[in-house]
Amino acid sequence: MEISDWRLEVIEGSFTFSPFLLLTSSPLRLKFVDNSSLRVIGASVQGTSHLSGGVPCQDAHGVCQLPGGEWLIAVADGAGSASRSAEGSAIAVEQALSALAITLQATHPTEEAAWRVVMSLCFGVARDALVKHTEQAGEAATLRDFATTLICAVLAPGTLCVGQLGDGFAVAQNATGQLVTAARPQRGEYANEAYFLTMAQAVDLVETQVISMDVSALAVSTDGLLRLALKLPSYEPHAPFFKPLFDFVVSGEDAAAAQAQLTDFLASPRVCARTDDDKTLVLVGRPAS
Amino acid sequence: MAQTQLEQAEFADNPEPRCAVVLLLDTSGSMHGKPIAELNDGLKEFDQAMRSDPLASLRVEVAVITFGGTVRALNVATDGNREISVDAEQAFVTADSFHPPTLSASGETPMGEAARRALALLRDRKEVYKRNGVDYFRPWIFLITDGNPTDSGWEAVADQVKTEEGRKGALFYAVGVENADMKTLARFSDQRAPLKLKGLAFRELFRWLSKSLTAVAQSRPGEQAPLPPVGWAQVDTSH
Repeated sequence: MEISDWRLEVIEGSFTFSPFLLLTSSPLRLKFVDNSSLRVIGASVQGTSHLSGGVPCQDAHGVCQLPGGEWLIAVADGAGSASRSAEGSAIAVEQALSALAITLQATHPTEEAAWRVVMSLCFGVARDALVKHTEQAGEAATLRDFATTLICAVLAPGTLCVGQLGDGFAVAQNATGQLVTAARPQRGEYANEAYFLTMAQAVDLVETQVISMDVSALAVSTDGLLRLALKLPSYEPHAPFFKPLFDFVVSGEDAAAAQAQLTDFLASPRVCARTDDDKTLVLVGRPAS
Repeated sequence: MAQTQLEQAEFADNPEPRCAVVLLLDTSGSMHGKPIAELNDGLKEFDQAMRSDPLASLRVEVAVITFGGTVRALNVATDGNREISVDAEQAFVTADSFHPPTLSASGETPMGEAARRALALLRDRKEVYKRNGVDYFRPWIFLITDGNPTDSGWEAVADQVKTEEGRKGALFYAVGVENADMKTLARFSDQRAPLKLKGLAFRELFRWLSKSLTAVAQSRPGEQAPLPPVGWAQVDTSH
């Protein structure tokens, strides 16, 4: 793909981003983006409990690259308890990426405070879009019906910025192979408490981490994979989970085959034995030069 | 140390999130005869009902504290009748391994002390969960009594229960049997009025409790589980 292919459209004050906003629809959303410097694979796979209950995959993810070279990743987990959360997660991802794309082409934050402002704006735009969508959905719909988490990552040279709302997580690897948890799940005290973009105070609850590091690999995921990927209660990355995946993302030559393999992995019995929830994994890797 | 290792094994074997419930049962002398017999039948019913849901039975953890003369925790992990220390590491058992005790009634009604121990037990149990990285739901205290507290200082404990419930630390349910003083029970909660048991419908009560805990233990993030209707309570027309 050529950078000159990028096009931005603004329609009635809401952002639409085309043609390379990589977002597809449920139950399986995945796209491969290949680039000379970074490889990106992402997949969202319906959980076994959703499969048996006839509930669609409520996770969504999207990835795009800006002309300046920054990578934007968004992952959202629609609430199992909300009737139209698959729409909520898809809208959140699309709008968050659009807002980030527009903002980060206009400005290049260097200070941590500036990154926080960018993330607040991005989550604010995504939330406003859900409010607007609710209004358009008719009287029976409430904002709560579209409840979703959202996690957004910006990968810029020397900097990783992650905005977090909810129980997703992100793990980054530096040039020497060290793994760091770039976003840990936000939790209330109780197992059935959660943070969603539809909450009134959502934007204030966003936690933004700005990490100065040369990222060699990054994983962004929903809580479906939490128990496989992070050690609890410390939330340290579980290296035997991430190392093979990070090797995998940079090893494949064939984009379609890599997509299929990641999807198969997420749907495999050994993953499903540990979680019955939807699961999303977006992997970014920089091949060794 | 050995205790900590056993605890780790317990949670490694069953990493499901937990919903702890303390059954705070009046075994004072006034419960003697039919009430205690019906309560015992109710506990057996609870055991059966909890086991019918395999997932909930791994998530709901039960401790039984009785107050008749003295305050005791019962070893409901084995036969249910042996007294054990009121201790967060030992007092709880998941519903799949629960052994309903056969209670007998005698002595006075140290309800305040019993409630105080229940609060401490739940606070300590949460620490055990945190230490082991196990998620948990808001725990319950479920008090059943036919009398009035006979210990001094119960009013202060009632305030502590209210405070704990106010900061969402626990849910408190009180059930009055026969001649229980409902006004006293009302002192323990600002969130909900105590309920008066219809006759000695303990079995119905415990079926409801089982259904309610099952709903809570399976509630998903962002969800408040709706509880089933309370068919076992009398409609209170006294005020």
